[in-house]
This record gives sequence, structure tokens and C-alpha cells, in this order.
Amino acid sequence: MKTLLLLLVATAAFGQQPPPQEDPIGQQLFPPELIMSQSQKLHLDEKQRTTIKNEVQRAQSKFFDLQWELKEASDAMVQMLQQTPIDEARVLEQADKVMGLEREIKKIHLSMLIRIKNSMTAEQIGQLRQLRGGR
Amino acid sequence: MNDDRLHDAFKELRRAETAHVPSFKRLWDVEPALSRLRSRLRVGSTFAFAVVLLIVLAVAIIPRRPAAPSISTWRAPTDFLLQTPGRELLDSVPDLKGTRQ
Repeated sequence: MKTLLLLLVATAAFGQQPPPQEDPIGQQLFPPELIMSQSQKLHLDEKQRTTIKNEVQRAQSKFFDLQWELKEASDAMVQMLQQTPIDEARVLEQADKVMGLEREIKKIHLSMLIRIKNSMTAEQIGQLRQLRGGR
Repeated sequence: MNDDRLHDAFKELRRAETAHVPSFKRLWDVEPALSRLRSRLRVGSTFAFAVVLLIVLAVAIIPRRPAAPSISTWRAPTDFLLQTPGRELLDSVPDLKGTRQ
């Protein structure tokens, strides 16, 4: 009977475990900061360094303008949400602008991460996985 | 108290006690039925234990769909892409005097 009770408690506890937070897309890519901080260990060649530098510069030049616009658009949305009553149609229209800018930033960022990963060798990718915790 | 009176007193006590005791024959006749009942109860409790055990094991073993996260804690799978390199430039001002470490 004690075993049964223990089993019941264990089952209940198992059922209440929260699902682990996962980032399946992010896990497949490597931020340039990580690669550059480990450049000695990874034995990056000159071509790879140039590729990473160019990709980061190209993306950053776009990020700055887009993030500025995003800040303005989200500030405007905050102001709209502070009004009483809230103009739902106007807020949704503004939300479209905010989400459109977010989408553009995400696409540029993703493109940069893909190009950087494509410039790495299979061995370097393996090393980066290990450096990030074996995932 | 002489022996006769003591004898009578014990006799009376025995009669009073035997009035409440069931007869041996009745007990003898009932025993097989009681034994059957006890046996059935034992089988029943074993069966109930097995059923509960099966349910517990089934709950523990059968794969369950992960609980849907709350909308307030849910994060879009591509949200990490908004954390762009150099983003902190928009949230801070440059330290021209070199006062910050």
C-alpha cells in the first residue's frame, strides 16, 4: 500500500512538471559574438573573419534604422493604449506596423545567422555546439 | 459463604453467560460461509489493488501532450531574432567622459 501511495505521489509530481523552455530554432544558429570570442579555438581563417565582419556590418546598418522606426511605432501604440476608450481599429492598424517592422528585423537577423553558419566548417560547428553546452 | 451457595452462584453466572453465546452448531454451520466471504474479500481487494496499480502505471507511462503554455508566458519561436547585435546602442548614451567602468 505504501508503494502504491508513493507511486501516486510520484505520478502526480511528474504530471505537474512544467514543460522545459526550448529554443529549437536559436539552438541551430550561432551568434557572431560567440564565434568571434572563440576565434582562436575555432581557427577562423581570414576569409571567414571577413565574411562574418561583412555580414554583421550589413545587418547592423539596416537594424539601426529599423529599430529606430520600431521604437517610434511602439511608442505610438503605447499612447493609443493609454486612451479611454481604446480605439481598437487604430491600435490594430498600428500593431500591424509594429509587427511588420519586427518581421523585417527578424528576417535580416536570420539571414545574417544563416550566412555566418554557412561560412563555418562542420568541425567548427561541432566545436561551437560544444562551447554552447553540448546542444 | 458456604460451598453450596458458591456453587449456585457460579452456576447462575454460567447460565447468564451461555444465554448470550451462540450455539456451537450454529457457528459450525456458518463457518464455511464466512470462510468463502473472507476468500472473496481477499480476491476482491487484490483485484482492486491491481486495477489501481494499472491506472497509475498507465498515467505514468502513456505519453501525454505537453500542456499548452499560458498566452502570457508563451514566446514566439523566432523572438530571439529581435535580440540583434548592437541593439543596446538604442537604449543607452555613449560614455564620452569615461566615468563608467
